[in-house]
Amino acid sequence: GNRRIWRGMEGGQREMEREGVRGEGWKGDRGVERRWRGEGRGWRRMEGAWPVPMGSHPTPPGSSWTCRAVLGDGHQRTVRRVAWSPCGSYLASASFDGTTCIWKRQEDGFECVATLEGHENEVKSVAWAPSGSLLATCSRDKSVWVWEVDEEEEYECVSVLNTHTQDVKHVVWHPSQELLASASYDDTVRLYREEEDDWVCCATLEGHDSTVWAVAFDKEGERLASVSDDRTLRVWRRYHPGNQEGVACSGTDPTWKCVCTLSGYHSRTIYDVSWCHLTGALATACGDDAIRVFEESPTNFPSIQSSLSNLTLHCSASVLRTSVEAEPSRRKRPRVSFSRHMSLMALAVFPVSFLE
Amino acid sequence: RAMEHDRAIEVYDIIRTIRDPEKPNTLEELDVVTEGGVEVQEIAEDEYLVIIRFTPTVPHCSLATLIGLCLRIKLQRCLPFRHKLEIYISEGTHSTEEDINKQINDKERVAAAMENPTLREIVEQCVTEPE
Repeated sequence: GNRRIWRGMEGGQREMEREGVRGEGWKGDRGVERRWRGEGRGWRRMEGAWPVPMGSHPTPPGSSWTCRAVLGDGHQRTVRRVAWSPCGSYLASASFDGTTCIWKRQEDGFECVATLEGHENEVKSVAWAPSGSLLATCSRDKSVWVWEVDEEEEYECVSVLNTHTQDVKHVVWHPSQELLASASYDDTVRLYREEEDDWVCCATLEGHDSTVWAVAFDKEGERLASVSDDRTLRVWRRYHPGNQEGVACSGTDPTWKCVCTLSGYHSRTIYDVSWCHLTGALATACGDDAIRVFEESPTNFPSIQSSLSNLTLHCSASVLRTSVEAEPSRRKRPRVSFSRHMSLMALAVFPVSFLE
Repeated sequence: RAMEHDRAIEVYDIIRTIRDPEKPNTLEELDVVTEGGVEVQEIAEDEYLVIIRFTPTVPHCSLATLIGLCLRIKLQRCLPFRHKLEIYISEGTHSTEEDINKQINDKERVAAAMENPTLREIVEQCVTEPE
């Protein structure tokens, strides 16, 4: 199983163990609200449905972590993001100092083999393409840079993309294609691909009302999830030219349409999203101190035509506040809205008002 | 309700002595902040949402952002209770208020700005209580 040691914070040193569960176990936790807090400073521990024993437990063998290296001289300012190369031999670090360092794993540590310069100010994100020969970086300077690395470990910038109109927060590669996605302070998500020795923006996903902080592709790469300062999680689907749903495409590029918007689940900015390629579950990181897991299940409603794809999302595990009963007026009922295109349903743990 | 009011007073007591970046006056003296501009809502046990609305003295974008930064930093350091903070320019007082509001509520932008030594120095001078 997946074991995790939770440590209390702020003076609390309680160690808790949780059996990682998936599938049935997670569904069983549907709607359970719990909060883990350390002792001291007004925090307290609440009970929940997770099968967690009270008191501390001995550390299981093989699960202790040691600090192997401190790479303290590479950057002059905050290191914002790190990313391992697909082969595992390299580590990229993106910094507010405007540079991205490439570290190569050695026997006794790591050596900085390249420093990628060019961004005018803070680099916010770095990501390796699955092939391992491409890297992308993005910055507050509004640009996305694509870098190529050759067999001699030489890095070269092959494209500077200036299509966003504001700070770019996050870049992510498609799981299997050389397709790049970026999330921006300009409230959009953009997609890029290579075209004749250069990179072009092939799609712009509009819909969020504020900064998009992160995006994640699903396993097949036909869907993308985005999260925003507007407190919604959106799922977008790719429609290829000639698709049977009748979605128009311009030229040979696929069109992306927002097929699901989850509102009312997050009470503050959502900073990150992760799409599990094994289970299909979506996890979000929110400024309201909670992690939420959303799962998709096959439709239970036989009346829906099977030719249309059905997206049912429910919040299967969530840490939400229940200690204070918020006034109904302060708390929006969670809502899921669908594109008119698709016959989609969402099943929510919490009362959901279905929209037309 | 009473708790929220007490908390609001606590918040105001901390922000009213912040000095204006340009003028030798406090934000209270210049009416940049007022008691009425502080709203507190309880969102969880012992945790509050603090919303501050301020009126910059001049419609100059960078000064408004600077004041927003000072408010955020001082409260981050001095507010004793668990809180989430939102800072806004009072509606209708600035032409680019949406842009400024977005910046001062973007925690990554705020953190990056505070790494700028010049900016940091100005903020420190505005928020540090005189001995």
